[in-house]
Amino acid sequence: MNRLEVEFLGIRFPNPVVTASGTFNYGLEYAHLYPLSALGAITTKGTSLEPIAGAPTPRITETPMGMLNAIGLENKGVEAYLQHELPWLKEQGARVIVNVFGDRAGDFAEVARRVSPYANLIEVNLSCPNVHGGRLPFAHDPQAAAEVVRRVKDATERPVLAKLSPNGPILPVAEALEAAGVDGFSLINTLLGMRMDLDKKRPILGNASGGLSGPAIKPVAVRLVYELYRHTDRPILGMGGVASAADALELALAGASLVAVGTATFSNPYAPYKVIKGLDEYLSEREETWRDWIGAAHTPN
Amino acid sequence: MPRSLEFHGSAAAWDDYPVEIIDSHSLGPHQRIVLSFADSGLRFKPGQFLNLSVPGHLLRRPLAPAGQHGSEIELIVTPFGPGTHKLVRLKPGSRLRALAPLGNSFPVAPGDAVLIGAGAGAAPLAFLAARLLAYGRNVTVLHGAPSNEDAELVRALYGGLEVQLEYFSEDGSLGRTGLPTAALHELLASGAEVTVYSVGPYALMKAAAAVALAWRRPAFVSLDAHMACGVGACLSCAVMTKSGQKHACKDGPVFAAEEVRW
Repeated sequence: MNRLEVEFLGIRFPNPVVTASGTFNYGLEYAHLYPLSALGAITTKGTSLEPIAGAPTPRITETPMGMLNAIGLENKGVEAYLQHELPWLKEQGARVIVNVFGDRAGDFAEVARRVSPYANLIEVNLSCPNVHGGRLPFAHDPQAAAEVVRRVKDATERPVLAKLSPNGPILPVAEALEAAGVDGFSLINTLLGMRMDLDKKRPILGNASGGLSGPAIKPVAVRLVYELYRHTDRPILGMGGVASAADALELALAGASLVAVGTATFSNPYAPYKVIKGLDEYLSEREETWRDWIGAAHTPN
Repeated sequence: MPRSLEFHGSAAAWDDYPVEIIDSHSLGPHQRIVLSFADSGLRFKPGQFLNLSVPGHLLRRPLAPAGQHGSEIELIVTPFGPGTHKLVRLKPGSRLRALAPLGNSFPVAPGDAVLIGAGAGAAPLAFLAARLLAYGRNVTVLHGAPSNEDAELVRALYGGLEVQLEYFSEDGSLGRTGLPTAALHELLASGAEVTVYSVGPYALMKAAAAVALAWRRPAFVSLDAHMACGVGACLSCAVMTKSGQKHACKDGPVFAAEEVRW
């Protein structure tokens, strides 16, 4: 019996462990370590309509129990990935969540439309700046975010996840996205932060600020997944600091049906695989299944 | 530009290896750390690097070996931040993990070679020097430092090698006074048909590259950049080249100097 199997938006996943966008590129770098089809799914590097060179270096810096990154959404643009990486991922037998973003709602939709033949799910990255529409990133402007989701839903048959940002209120955005027809949520994106260089008396990162990830943010992730689960009937892909089976189970208790491993892969490239093995051992010992744990912290005693 | 014999990506796939520190001792401001890879059969080429775990730290630290003797890999670590300070305090017997071998390697170009470096950049250059000598090349090493602090380092790295070593100190306390790039200029101006290899601070590599290119000599540098994964996934270590943006961990760390947008 497969204790880890889970159905998510009509798709059967052999286990709930996926890679987090931006921490696994398109999978090629890790494919010689373990079969990518053994993972729940690969979430691709964020993909835009046109290539993006990204932010000035340094793009990363370590923090206590975490790291800050400001890669600046570097990617080769959707056309390049359609030529090489996406067909290759399909050949590997991997389930694929394509992370898409853009400057405007129509760009998100166009990327989603084009990658759909290779995607099991579309993940919409709402944390990028809304270049043409005001001061807030999409993620903190419920109406702009809803417009993105509406356009993406119109452009693809695939289920659409909205990736939520922890850098502002989540529930008003989630509510607007539900009304726009979003199928599920993924959270949390990174927490904005900054480090200073004492010699230069300037921020360390080339982009000044960056996104905090790693074990330091896990309690924030657990809290926000817990909070959202109480307010939505849509399934949740939880992420933030997951490095072990125990971390994954915490997010499941809070309400996540799938979990993503992200920064942990930088510490240990086998991390996603290790979490799957760890979950299998833990649940086998207790004769339980992953599904038993999803949202279990919300059931009355 | 000479056709290179081994200027390409790492042919052998990397993996995550258990390693043990079997020796660690101070070389002035630097630390020489010897790692055992046990019976992994791993082979490094000069210029390649490993990404080494540090207890209590999330990210690994990229380090280019100074040499390999069987399963033993020699590293030079210069303490800079909390992670490298922790690394140099680790005792023999400490067990770590290393992603290896990563990145491409220096080409062994035809003709003689000048290696120009500073600080821990001398580590991959010493490894390269041994390789070039094995290929029968004459090797000149120009090592620069602010003062005499790298005396032990260059003795440890180059002492056993048949290289022409010149030490440059900015304050004149050891060897020749001034910068090694001035000597490189003199050498190339005299018509020496050499290939230039440089590893050190960005400013040194940039200056060495400019001198080499001015005299139309081939030059190779190893670009250091902050990296997380070390294998091409996180896209942290972006470097700009004439053929577009590359990543030091996977496309490098070794680049032809004329390819780099300095």
